[in-house]
Amino acid sequence: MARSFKDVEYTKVDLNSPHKEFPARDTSVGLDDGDEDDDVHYDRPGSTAGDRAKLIRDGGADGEDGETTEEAAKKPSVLSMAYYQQFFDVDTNQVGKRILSSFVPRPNRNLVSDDIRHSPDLYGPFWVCTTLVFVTAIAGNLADYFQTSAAGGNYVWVYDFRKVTFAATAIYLYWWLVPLLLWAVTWWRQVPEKYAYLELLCLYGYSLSIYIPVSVLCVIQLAAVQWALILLAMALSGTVLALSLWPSVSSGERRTAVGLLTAAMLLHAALAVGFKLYFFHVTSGGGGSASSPATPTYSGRTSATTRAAATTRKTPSG
Amino acid sequence: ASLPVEGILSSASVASTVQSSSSISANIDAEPSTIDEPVRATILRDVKAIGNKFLLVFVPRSSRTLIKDWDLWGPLILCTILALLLQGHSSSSSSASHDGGPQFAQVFIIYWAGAAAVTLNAQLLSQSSSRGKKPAPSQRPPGFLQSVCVLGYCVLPLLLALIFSQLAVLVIPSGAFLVSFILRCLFTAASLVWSVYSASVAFLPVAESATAAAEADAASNPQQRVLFANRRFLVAYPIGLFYIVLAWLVLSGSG
Repeated sequence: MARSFKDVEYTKVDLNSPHKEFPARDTSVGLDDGDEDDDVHYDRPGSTAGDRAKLIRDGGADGEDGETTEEAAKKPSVLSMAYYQQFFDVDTNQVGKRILSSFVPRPNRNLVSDDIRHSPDLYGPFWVCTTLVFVTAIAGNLADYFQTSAAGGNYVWVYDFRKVTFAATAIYLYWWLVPLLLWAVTWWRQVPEKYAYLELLCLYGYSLSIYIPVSVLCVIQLAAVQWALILLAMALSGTVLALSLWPSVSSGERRTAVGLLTAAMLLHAALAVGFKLYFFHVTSGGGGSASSPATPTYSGRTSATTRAAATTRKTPSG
Repeated sequence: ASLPVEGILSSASVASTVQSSSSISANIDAEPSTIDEPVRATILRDVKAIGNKFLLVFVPRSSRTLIKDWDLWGPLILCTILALLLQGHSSSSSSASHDGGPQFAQVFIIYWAGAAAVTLNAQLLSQSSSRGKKPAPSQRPPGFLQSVCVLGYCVLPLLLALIFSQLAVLVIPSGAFLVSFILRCLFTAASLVWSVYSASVAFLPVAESATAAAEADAASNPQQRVLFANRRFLVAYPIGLFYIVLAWLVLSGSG
């Protein structure tokens, strides 16, 4: 339906109607027609109503609208800074609110539709993931140190930098690959109310935020405590994830919806359990070191130490 | 008459290439007065400029010189020394000689990619321009490399902590491991706080001169002013994360 430039409205999202403008956001190669000289300071107005409608693009010859003008007007060139600035249009309290609601499940609230939809951002997800990478690596290092010094091994405080690279790979892959797969399946199955890829990215990024304090707490060398923390975090953030995804996927076929949700939950659980096993394994008596096969050499060294220590004397479990 | 001109031209080109390869701090002098100086004077002037910036790190104040006379020599020197020191130890008690510590390239990447990420983050959050018209060139937010310069210079306290820690490990006998560890922790923590403080004092004005520009430029848009003011923590947090990661490298690289 042809819309004129003046009466476009972006903040009211009618969830019952198919979202025409949101797919436009994630097919996001902004085909710019020319105006790239004022790139660095191209303004993107704040996320409140009406401002987007007033976005004036100077110099752009967008008077002709076979394409709707507001689409051409709101998408600056991919090469310009302004294009990426629109993904960082958040305030501190917005980020805080989103992080908080990512692990406090409330049945009648949907993280995506309530918080994220009107201005998805990439600041929160990116820095949550980066923080998680380093916190997990540091905490894993600390945990190894406490563990082997408790076992009596003469452990020199040396860290394994490969922990950082492994953590980074796993977390970043999870952050952008799983939403991509989700989005691709919803697109393939033509789920009517699918989320845009950007929103999924946002959702998944924020859902990882609970693991940051959990990683810090997992330094405690009690296997029961560690497992309890991990499972609690998994349950909380998984619930929020499910609650947010369900309205979208359930608008399609039943089978697809159930399958997608199950897959998402399984992957979420796999990430959590994998982290626990890789970074925070606590040996209890001989041979229990559940070192994941991903790093044979490093875990081999410490577990060899602990196994040797365990066989010579009884180590207290956990 | 051509021979003397050739002579002057060749010395001028040598001097000007030396000068252009050094920092921009010499822009106060008129060009002709520095052409004939010996190369040593040019280099000494730049060394003094770098040294001045190191001193500025010790006494953090939001000085405009750090913004205007930026250079990347200081960060490069700091990064190289940091990377060299961090891999200088091959711990004797373990079997592998290079025991999982960061390689030179990894420190480099963390340092520069980290500084770039923090700066990019600040730039993306800034949104300083007003709507629909270009701001004047004098009101542009400071550039990418200036912020990288500030971040790089403020790593100096952490480098000092690394030197102290490695010396402490050499001096203190290995029996008193806990004592030396706590001492090193304290020192690293203090230098971390110092780095973050001096970076935020110097950096946030670097990022916030955008605010001043935006306020001057877009006074008709009160919303814009409020927007940026609500993001100080978002801009400052990556700075803290960057230095925490470096502090962790320092702490665990001196065991």
